[in-house]
Amino acid sequence: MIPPIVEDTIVYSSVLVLLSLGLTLTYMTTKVPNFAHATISIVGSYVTLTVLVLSLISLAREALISQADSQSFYRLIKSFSFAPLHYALFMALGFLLGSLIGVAQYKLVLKPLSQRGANVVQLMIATIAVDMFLLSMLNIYADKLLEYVVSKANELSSIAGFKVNLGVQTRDFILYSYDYSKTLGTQRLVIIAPIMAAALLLALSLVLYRTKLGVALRASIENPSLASTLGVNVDKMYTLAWTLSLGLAGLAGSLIPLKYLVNPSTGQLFVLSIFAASILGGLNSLAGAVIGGVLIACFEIPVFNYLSSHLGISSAYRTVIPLLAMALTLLFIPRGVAGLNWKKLFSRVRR
Amino acid sequence: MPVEQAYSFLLSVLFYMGIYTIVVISLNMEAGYMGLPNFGKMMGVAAGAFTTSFFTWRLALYLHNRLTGEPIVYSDYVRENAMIVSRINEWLSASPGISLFLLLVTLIASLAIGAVIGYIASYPAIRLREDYLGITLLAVAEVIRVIGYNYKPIAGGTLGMQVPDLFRWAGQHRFSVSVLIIVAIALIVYLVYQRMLSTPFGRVLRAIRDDEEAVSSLGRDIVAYRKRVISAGTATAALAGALYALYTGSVIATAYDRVTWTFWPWVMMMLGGAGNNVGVLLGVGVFVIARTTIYTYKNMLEAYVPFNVVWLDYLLLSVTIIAILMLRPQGILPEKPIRTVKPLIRQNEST
Repeated sequence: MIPPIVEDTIVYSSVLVLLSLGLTLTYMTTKVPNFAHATISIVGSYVTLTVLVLSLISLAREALISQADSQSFYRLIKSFSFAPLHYALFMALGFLLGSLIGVAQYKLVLKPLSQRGANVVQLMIATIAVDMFLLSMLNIYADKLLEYVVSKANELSSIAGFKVNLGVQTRDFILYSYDYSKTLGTQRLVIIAPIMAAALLLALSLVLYRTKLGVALRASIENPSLASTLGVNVDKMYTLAWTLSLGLAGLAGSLIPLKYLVNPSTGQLFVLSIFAASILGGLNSLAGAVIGGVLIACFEIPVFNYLSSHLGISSAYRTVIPLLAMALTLLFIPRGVAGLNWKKLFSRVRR
Repeated sequence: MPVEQAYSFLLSVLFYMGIYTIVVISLNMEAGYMGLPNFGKMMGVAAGAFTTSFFTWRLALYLHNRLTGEPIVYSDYVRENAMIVSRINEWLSASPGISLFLLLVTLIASLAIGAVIGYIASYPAIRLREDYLGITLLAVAEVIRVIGYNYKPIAGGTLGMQVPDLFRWAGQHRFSVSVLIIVAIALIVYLVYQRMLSTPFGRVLRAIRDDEEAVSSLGRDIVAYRKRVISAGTATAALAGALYALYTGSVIATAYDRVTWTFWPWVMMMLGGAGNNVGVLLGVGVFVIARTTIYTYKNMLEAYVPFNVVWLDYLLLSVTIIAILMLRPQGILPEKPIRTVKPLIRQNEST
């Protein structure tokens, strides 16, 4: 039996690694910190919620067609649990939607602006605008989805002859119970999240370091003008980087509501942890982003948990942890863990 | 009745114009003149408001207990806040002199606290590139809000806190008088900034924005300028925060969010014209009138907008940012060369 704090750390670090990896990759291409990154991942969370709503409604309809009474109906609804197909569906859709938004953000906003000679500050404020736009869209979507759920529940009630309540919320929702597996004695996410993160990392590193495409992508990041002289379509490569990065974000986001409370503005605070992880990793190294993600997750969960239980610090101050990590990194190792000269460090320790 | 409505609309517009002028004019120095991406502008406003909620009542209570024969006894300020403040208010309503003294002291304290917070907040990233600084300031601002929300003695936590009413002596003209004072202070701030930025100091800031290396080769210490500008800018925003808190009569941490106090000021600056103080006034005017109108006619708008009107604010914000950046990044009134005093020299140059 794994203690809950370890589960929490595993899941949180898997999600954070996927997100900070994507943020770092987009930063390496366009040199703009994407403030919309976290909110795009929350779009993935709403994909999961939508999949759940649609499956619950079809389940309820089938149950009512076979004339279930209210007791057996509610037992059926309560016992609903995600099937492998559901996981595949919402992760794939999350990836797809995230990458679509990423491409749109790159093609429609950032690229035209940098062609017009916008500076870094203007590009940053543009990503903030994208964040605000998505935030309002998510909020509107949450309202509409709730309206949809209520209208469907009313429709089903009239068929059933008793009051149907699907027990779904579109704000402050957590889908823990649909992910719980009795055979495992815990959530399936505890296994899925680290496996997904590891598999995606492996796939990404294979693409980057073992294929021609990866060579072209890395070349466009390192020296765009030289790469384009040698016939690499730099713009295409950057588009690919944005597709992959925000696809990963959408996928990671689709897993978040299985364990954490989500509402449209969840990304507003979450973005700080992602930035902290990327900055701790050096913002210019994918391996660094992975290490940063794991480290920030460890600071935020086991370390902070120790602090709060032993020093009596309220758990509400968890937001301070990524900020502190970020500030200390910038003060002492501004190029992050990836910029450290480990050999020198070790030889100094040995002496 | 319509006359009264028009008057309260006018009062509301003037109030917000005064407050936002103070915030945006200082943002213009940081971002428009110097190119510092201060995405944590709300931290200044929050610092001022929290100074007011934390400090003003203590001073008022101390003066009350010293000057009147009947000291107020209490056991827990946060819980008995409403009672204490209403007794202080009764006393203050008869003594305009002490009220004005308290106002002055509150404003000075806010300026000081704002300057300190601005300095500390920017310290980790002040030597780094502007994107790091932007991320850090955003994170610090968020953390200040989280602390204000969770640490009760500052602003009463989730319930908020009342602040002594320093304008009560004006009786039924309370709102008119306070708006008059706020507008007067905004005017003073505007004139001070206009004057300050027309000196060589302002030209150095613009030069730093355009070419850091050139400026440092001429012997200017860029980091020292950045520190000075962030401290001064945050202190000025704290002035606005204190005035806002005193006008509304209460402080609650949730009122100090990124959208209202960071991104709206950015849009106002960008629309009017970054680096142009007259443009700032124009931008503030346009958006304050637009937002107040939307807010006033919210109920009428609901019939035409197919979603909750609250999200219209976010949509308007994001779309305006992108539109300005795409269509007219220099704003309505673009930056002009600073007018120096000697027209004679120009005559000599031309001959």
